[in-house]
Amino acid sequence: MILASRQGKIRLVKWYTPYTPKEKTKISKELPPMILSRKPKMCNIVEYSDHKVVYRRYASLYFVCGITPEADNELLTLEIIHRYVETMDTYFGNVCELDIIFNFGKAYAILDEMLMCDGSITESSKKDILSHVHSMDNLESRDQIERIMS
Amino acid sequence: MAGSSLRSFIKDVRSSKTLAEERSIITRESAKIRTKLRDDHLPAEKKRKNIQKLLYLYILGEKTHFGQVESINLVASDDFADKRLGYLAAMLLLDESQELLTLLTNVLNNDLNNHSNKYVVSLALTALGFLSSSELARDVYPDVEHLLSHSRDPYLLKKALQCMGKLIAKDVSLLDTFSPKLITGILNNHSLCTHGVLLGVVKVLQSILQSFTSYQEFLVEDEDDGGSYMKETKVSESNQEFFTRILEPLISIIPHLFSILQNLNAKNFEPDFDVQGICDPFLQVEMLYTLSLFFQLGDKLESSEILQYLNKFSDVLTQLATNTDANKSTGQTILYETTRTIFSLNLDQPLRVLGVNILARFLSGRDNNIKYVALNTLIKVVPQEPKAVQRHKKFISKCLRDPDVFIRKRALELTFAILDEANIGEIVEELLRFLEYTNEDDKSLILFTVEHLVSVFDVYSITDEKWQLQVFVQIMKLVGRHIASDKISDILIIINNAKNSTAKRDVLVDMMKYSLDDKFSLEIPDENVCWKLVSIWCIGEYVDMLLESQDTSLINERSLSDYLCRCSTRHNEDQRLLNYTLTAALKLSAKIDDAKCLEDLRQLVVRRTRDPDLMLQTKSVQYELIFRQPKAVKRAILETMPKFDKPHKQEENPLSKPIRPRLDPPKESDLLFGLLQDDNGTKSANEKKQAPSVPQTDLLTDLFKGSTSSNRNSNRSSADARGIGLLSQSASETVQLPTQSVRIHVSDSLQVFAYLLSCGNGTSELEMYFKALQAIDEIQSFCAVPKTQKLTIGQLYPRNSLQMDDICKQHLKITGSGKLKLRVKVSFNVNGNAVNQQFDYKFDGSL
Amino acid sequence: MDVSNPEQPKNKILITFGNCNTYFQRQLVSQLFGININDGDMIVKDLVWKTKYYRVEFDMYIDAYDNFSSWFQEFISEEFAALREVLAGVVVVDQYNSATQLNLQGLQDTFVVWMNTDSRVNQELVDEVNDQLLQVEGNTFELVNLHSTGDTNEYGEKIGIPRFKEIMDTCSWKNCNIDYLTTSSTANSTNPDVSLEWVFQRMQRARLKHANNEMDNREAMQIAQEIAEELTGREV
Repeated sequence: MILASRQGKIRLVKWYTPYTPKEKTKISKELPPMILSRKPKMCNIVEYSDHKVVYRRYASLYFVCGITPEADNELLTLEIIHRYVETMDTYFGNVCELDIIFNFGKAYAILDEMLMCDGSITESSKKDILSHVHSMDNLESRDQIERIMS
Repeated sequence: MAGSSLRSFIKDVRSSKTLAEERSIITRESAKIRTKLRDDHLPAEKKRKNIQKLLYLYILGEKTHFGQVESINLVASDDFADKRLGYLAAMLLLDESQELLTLLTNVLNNDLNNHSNKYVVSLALTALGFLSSSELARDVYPDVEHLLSHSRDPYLLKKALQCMGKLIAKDVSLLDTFSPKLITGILNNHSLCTHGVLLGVVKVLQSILQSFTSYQEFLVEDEDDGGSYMKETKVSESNQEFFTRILEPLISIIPHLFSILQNLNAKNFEPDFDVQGICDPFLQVEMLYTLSLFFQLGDKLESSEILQYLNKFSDVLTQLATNTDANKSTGQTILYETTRTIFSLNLDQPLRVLGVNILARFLSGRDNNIKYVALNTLIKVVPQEPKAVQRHKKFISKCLRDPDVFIRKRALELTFAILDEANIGEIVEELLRFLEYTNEDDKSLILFTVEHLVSVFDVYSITDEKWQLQVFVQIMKLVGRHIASDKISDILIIINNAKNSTAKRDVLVDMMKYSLDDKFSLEIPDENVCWKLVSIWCIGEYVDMLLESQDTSLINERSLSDYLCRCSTRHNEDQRLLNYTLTAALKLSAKIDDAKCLEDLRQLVVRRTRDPDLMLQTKSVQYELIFRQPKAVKRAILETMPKFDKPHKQEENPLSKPIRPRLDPPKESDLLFGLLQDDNGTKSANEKKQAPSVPQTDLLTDLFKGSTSSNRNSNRSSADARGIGLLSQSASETVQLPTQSVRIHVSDSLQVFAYLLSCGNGTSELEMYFKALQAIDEIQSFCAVPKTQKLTIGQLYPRNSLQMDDICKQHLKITGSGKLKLRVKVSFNVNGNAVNQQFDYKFDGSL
Repeated sequence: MDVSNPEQPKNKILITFGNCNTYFQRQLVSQLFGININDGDMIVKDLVWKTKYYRVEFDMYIDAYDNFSSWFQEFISEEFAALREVLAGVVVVDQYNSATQLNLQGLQDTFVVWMNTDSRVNQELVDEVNDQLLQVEGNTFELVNLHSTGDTNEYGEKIGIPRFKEIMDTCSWKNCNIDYLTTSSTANSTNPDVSLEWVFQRMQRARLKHANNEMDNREAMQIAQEIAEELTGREV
């Protein structure tokens, strides 16, 4: 999964299947321009080498997911992306590109609560995801304050 | 004025540059961090900051591997913030293939057994699911198993389940110790079954069901090597063992899964899981997919234990198909999965028709994503339900005009897929209309269309030759500038082989109108080289026929000669075209009397004798010699082209390989070869080409082989509803089995053969032949290829009902990578009883 | 220390006006950057751009032109390569003219924003132009409509001046000294669950613990400051 800005800059990336560094560089270089060059009304499913890529645009950010053709349901992937954006929206309060740049740790945390292993969906409840991320945030800050106080 | 400001800016830049250089030089951020990470004395806080910056650089795509060890150190920390960051870093910087994972094993063991903080456990599970290698999978499997049997926290359970699925996929042998009770136990405890846990459960099920296949394949491959009887029994024993110990208990939960799915689908509103009024589409789709895997395996194993639920499953699918709201995108997602399930299991006809209708409804909507998946699925479904898909031709045609090129491409593929003898007239006309609307950006679509139209006319024998010729003239007119040289020769062959000379004359005279008449020729732009090539060739070849035309004011010796001269000067650079012109000029000179024209033509030839291109020069020198011969001699040398054969795939010429050794042509071959095409580019293009559905013919060989006349049945009657009247009666078509085909399946009623046409460079084409050993009807075949490959499958030809010893065939094209393997499922009726057969076949080659 | 890459910080914004009066120029600079300039200012130094997450110092170059094409020709000429290298962004303020062709070679890490002042150009047209621009690989050029009202366009993107600010916010400020206000693990703003009571309780305990220790003033101050910074979420 790749998040890219309108300028084609990558803002978040997570590889759910092992790739060599060379392949990763190639994909990160080729994919964003290809997605950006799609006209707005075109369909959000693109064929890329022997893969399929599903993407969705939210404001100035493009969310791009590679999926396994035949096995994965393209429409469901679109819903998953949407769910992810909604969840981040609630967490950050109207999420914007800047939030993701500076809080990528949180963006990853939410993603990890939602998708696991090779990208299979783990939790469909937004509320559940958010409550666990918040609990972990709390644990962190308690630890931190504790550390300073002692 | 403006310049002066810019100049003062640059002055400022220069001065601050020296300042910056004096102060300190800014180094690359990653280099700084690298140095800092090596420093053991830095406080934890700073280390954390550095790792964070490093991850930021990772996102930007910089090299960050040097942070790997440090991230594992962070994971080992007791501080939760450190651990959380460490796991994040480990997941990003490490991957499954790295040795460093062994360093992680101990920490994971500890964290998975952490009883005081569930988030430590959950972080460890998340990382494990993401990173497990097969060694790691074996090492931590007991920890995950322990969690599954002891933890009662849905949050940890769902993650442990996901991990379990991953571990099994990583190492199939773990199934030896796996106990299905872990799953059934959780499912039976309602308080544990949150949606998250259910997602985990189906993930494990999917993993088990899928690994069974790979497990078996692995064993079969083993057996291939040794091939001993002992092994065979072992295989079947272990299969049996797997079945009773693992599968049977899981099969018993199928009804339970049905009811969960039905409940979800019927549920009205549940705020946490609602997406546009649909309850948890994610879980619904995952459940459907899992169930479909169950039944696929059931089919494969012919297990009545599984298949007993098939009727019930059909009911569930019908319920989903009718009750899900098709106006919501999430509803469409579920409907889409439902149709995929129907077709992957090849369920009963009414369900299949229901599935096709759902997809057709998608086509009529406005959402392009929906249209795309619908087209994509329909393409695969055509062999199963050709009639049902054809019924929605109108929507498919509409998609041909969609603004999105991807949609157009799919619609085009589908259009060709549904083309058959009954609708060829209608569809070809539709395609011509499509070509009319194409623009420069559609080049690949245009080529695709032309290439496939050529093969279509090759496969289906057309009685109305005039119509066929008109179609190609129309194609050349519309998109001639895009047509590649190999397709041009295909078109020439079609013109040359047309038997009905009146039809040929009429069409050619009409074509000349556009070449010769000043007003009409405006419609043919200069770049339309294809049109010109064909016109030139026809002038050379059919002078007699053309001069017979009534319209002497348009077509006469003068106008034809002028056309050649005009082409020769206007396309001074195009060697292929010049070659054609030379030949045509020579041929024309043998048929006309006008001295002025003859002189013009001679000049045309003579001018090329000084051409810098050696080929052209040689040829024109030779031609010039012939040119001076008396007319009678010329006529004898320059006979009209014989009819040449393109070996038809349904004819007895499959011996011809796609690539043939080049013949060393005898001397006069230069001439004859030149009549057709002799440009090097064309030749090599032919050789490199991945033959579409017809093995590429080497024109040369065919020319000199003497034309073996085709055995195609000429007993045709025109019977087309729209009065175009083009088609042969299919009943009289027969298919011969190529001698080189391999038998891949045999049963009481049917033999199946495969004939590999080509394989390599990521594409393979092959044909399957179904030979009936007794009368069978309603044959349907359904093929699958490995995940890395994509299959395009044609229709059964010539029909799907066979008498004893009859043969029908099907064309397959596979693209992608990996070994060439096929799984084929055939269903048909014998004496009114439905029969299903399934088999796998592994070819020697790889893509 | 690795000194292999002595690159210049990209910390300058060049703003150039076509045919605008100085009052308008002052107004717009104040709207866009929140600073006041005087007529005739060409170089303004040590400005601060601040977001929720960081602050960064930048300089501004202010220019004007009579004819954009000739100005731009000069700007992209070899002579000003060193200038382009230190630009984080270029802002052109003028009426948008669809005939304007920009060759952005050599501006790959610099954003270029055209602030359209022509109120007849509506947001739909702006979106269309930007969509076309997206087709160009490596493009950094964007058209922003100064007069657009409302929050977002049909893609949910910010428009008008807020979009310009977003471009500034997300610009990479390569090689600049960025002052991070919070980092990802200490984003306490999103964390309302730590109650004040709990913090006080901890402070109390810490005080008791340290009461017995000898501690000089300097050390005590340092600790106090660390605590304060930690609680306000600012990096040390």
